[in-house]
Amino acid sequence: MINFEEEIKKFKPCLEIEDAEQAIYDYNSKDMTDILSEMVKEIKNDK
Amino acid sequence: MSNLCPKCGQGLNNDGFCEHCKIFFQVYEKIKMVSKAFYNQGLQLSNVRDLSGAINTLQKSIRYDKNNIEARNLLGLVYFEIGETVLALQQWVISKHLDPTDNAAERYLKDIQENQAHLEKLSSAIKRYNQALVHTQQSNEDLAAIQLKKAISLNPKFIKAYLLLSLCYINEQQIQKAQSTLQKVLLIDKNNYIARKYYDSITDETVKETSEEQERKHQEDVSFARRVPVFVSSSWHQVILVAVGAVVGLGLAIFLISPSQLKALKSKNISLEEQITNSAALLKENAAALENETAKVQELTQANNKLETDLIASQDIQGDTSKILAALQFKDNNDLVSSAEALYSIDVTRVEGTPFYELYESLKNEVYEKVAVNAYNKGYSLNNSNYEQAIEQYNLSLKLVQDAYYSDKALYYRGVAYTKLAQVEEAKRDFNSLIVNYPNSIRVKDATWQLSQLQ
Repeated sequence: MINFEEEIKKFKPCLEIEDAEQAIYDYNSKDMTDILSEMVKEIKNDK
Repeated sequence: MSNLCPKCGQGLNNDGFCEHCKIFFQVYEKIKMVSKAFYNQGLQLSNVRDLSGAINTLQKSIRYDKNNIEARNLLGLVYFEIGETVLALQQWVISKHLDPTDNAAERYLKDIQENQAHLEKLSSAIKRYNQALVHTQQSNEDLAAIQLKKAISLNPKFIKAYLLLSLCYINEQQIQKAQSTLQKVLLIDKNNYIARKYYDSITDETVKETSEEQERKHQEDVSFARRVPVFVSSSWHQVILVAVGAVVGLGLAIFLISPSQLKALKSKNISLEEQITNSAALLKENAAALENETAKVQELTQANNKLETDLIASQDIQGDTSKILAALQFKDNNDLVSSAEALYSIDVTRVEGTPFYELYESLKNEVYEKVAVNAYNKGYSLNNSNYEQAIEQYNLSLKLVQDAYYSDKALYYRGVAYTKLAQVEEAKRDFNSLIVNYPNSIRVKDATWQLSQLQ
């Protein structure tokens, strides 16, 4: 049977519309090409 | 192949290598292809309403290529579809920022901005969900359920609200309601993991109870089958062997049990009898002591039960007090229906004698009447258009107030609505109730006629 107390802990508050602007600023938009570029730069610096 | 690096925009050499990024153009192309493959998969999953799967896949798609505008826009749409308004807005705003020209995200954002009333509703639904979450954490499931129902009425695709509501129902053992709520989630997002987990859990429990019964019956049958006598094949050899064994055994017994041995056995028997008497006395003493201890344990258990009952009662009173305060807050926000629902869920016997009783009564008198008359009027306006909704409104009106000038009419029109929906038993019940409880009503004659038509 489901453990109510445990399940409740998994529910998190929803972002409210007023928080949308901050959520957009906080969004991590790094993609694979960014990671690749960073890796190449790191290798270059190590050399 | 383009001559410019898609990452930095600088020129590529003849091998397609970007000197600035130190990466071959083909690597970027491959990454973009993977992103597109994920997008296609996400699109397919969205089309079959596997929205959880689609979110997962589309997130991967934009993780590979953040400039995959189609994937980002679709992710926003899927978020919007499950009631995650802010996450949808987030994706569309970023999408518009990345590609300002001819972008579908612009249209989505424009649609939302132009429909402020709808946006208000979505915002209010989120606030109510968050409030419900707080109520649930404070063990006020009744208030949480009221808020969640309201949130769902404001945003009927708010998956999180459905899930939390179903959890409240499960906690209160309202399994059918929980199942129906979870089915609504699965209609929106057919592979929603949490909904499936809850649904399977409550369905398994129900099935388990019936299957345990069957299992027990089966076990009984099996044990009965095991008791079937076993026939051993006999032969002359076996019979002779048994007879020889018996004769040898008898001879040994006569040889061993001589008179002197019998005497020794007698004295041993007497000593054993004495031991038994002593043991019986000791047992009696122990039994008395045990009885004494049991009585003490019972006393302690009773005291403990009383303490637990007192604690539950005090928690109940605390819960009811929060409901009164919530009702007051609802009233201040002009949400009289929620206020009435909160008051209705209070157990009056627990509030009586507390300082909150007066506040409860005054609130009830003020709110119930307004909500009941309003519900009656709403029901009346829906009489010829939507019988189900009309019945809901009459139910609300009659639940709160039964002795108002319109109560008999509410009962009559509800009966008529039931008749229109071919729910004959409910209709008969209402007409009979009108005749018995409101004998002076002008609708008695009509109710009698309606009843004669239903016979």
